[in-house]
Amino acid sequence: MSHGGTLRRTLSFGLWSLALLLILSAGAWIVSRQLRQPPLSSLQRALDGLASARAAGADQKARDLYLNAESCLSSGREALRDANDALWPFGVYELPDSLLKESTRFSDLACMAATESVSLRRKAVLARLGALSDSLSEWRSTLANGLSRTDFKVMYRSASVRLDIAARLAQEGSVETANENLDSVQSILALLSRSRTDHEATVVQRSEEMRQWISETLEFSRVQKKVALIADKAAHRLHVIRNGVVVESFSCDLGYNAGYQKVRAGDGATPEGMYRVTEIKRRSKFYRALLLNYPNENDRERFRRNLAAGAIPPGSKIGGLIEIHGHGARNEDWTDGCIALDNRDMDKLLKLSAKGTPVTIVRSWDGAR
Amino acid sequence: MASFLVAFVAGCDDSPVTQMDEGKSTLKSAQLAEAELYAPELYKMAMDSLSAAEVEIQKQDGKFSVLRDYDRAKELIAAVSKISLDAEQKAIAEKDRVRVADSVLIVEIDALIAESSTALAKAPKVKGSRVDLKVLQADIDAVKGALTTATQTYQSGAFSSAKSQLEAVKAQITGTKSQIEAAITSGAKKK
Repeated sequence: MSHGGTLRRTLSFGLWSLALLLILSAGAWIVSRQLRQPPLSSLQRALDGLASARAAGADQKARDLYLNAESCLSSGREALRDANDALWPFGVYELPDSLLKESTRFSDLACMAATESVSLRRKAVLARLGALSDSLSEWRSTLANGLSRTDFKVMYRSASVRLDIAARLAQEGSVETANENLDSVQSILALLSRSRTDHEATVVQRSEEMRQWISETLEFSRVQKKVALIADKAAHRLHVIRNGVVVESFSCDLGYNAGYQKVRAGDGATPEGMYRVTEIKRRSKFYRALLLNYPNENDRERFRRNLAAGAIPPGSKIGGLIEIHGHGARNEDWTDGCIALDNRDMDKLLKLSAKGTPVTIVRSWDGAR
Repeated sequence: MASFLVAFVAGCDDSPVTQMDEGKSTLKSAQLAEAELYAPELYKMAMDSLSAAEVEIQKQDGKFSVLRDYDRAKELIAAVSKISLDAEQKAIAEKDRVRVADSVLIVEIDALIAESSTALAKAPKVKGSRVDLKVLQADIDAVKGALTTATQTYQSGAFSSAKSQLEAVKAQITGTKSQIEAAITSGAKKK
């Protein structure tokens, strides 16, 4: 055997061995690639989870959790690509699998947080709706029991309309817009509350003046032994005074803006002051009537002052024809400023009154004590 | 040996990356057309197909190159593109339908407000009815305020949200109009 022949055989054996080794390695690699499975179910769950979270509005309502889920999914995809591209045995799926699972976990949390946020928001709006509805009910009874003021009623009704709209929207699930309408309701009620506080402050300011009027009227009746009338606007009562004491009391309706002192014609307010009966009308459009001497000198002075200060529109008139008349007992303030009694009470009053009978009208007798 | 290896490599199927990007881009267009809101079913179908395509691609990527087959993934991506396009078109049409319906509602509400205001202006102003009329005017003003808010929502392009607001406003002004009519009847009796 020659030396060259041995070398050739050895070389040939080596090459065949190398080829065999390569073929075996390639086979093992292929088998391993086929045996190891990418975490497809984890990927599917992560994708579904993120879609559900988005559908639940988590991208807005649970933004941090949603972004975490998105970030984990993105990293999971990258890790999955790396694992797929890696040579055996380096391509392992533990990392992408755990990242995808983490993404699903974040998506679930985001979904829950978003659902909870919607539910909480809805609950909060419903609670707010209930609270404002209760508040409006209180205002309704306050306004019904107190003196009429059109501006209060207008504010109340505006709030009421906005509340109805909010309730409809909340029922349909439009929570945000329902809430915006509730904001309007709340601002109107706050304004109403402020106006009422101002109104009460005015009553307190004027209590001394009213106390004086009442005292003078009672004194007149006691000294002169004559009948005098005191109308208590807050109590909706017209008291008949004889010899300084209340001998009769009638329920009465007032002007639709009775909560105000009368300042001009057409304001719907019942005047406050000391007046006298100037005419007894046994037949009137409103059954029977006692005409009062409104405006008196104080009213004229106030009117001039208000006109000069621009507190009332230019061209306003002071008004007149303020009466105590019948057709009352409607349980609401409906007149243009007159005092309306039940017709039977009007009959009694006419028997007790005469031309010149003092009629004192105060905002509140209790408040003046 | 070399030709064997070349055959191995040449046998690889390419991952449909470009098609996938196109599919995602079509879905993005559907999203911009607010398909989630106006064509939710089609949008969800497109999203599901996209997920399925991605899973299928990963499944094939995990295989040995010569054994990879992206045909199913390509079919799913084609479905994503088609459904997304349908969703986009449906969303555009539906959004326009809601927009038109909203504009009709605005016109109707405007007409109801005008009718209510006219009726209120003509209502007999007799003693005892003035406060009712002032309060009804307050109702109309409150409805006008709510209509302004709803119109702003409409003008911002949030037609779906504007729709529910406008429906609530319409119900309110319809009720107010009935109250005005009742007040007029009652006022006429008082006269």
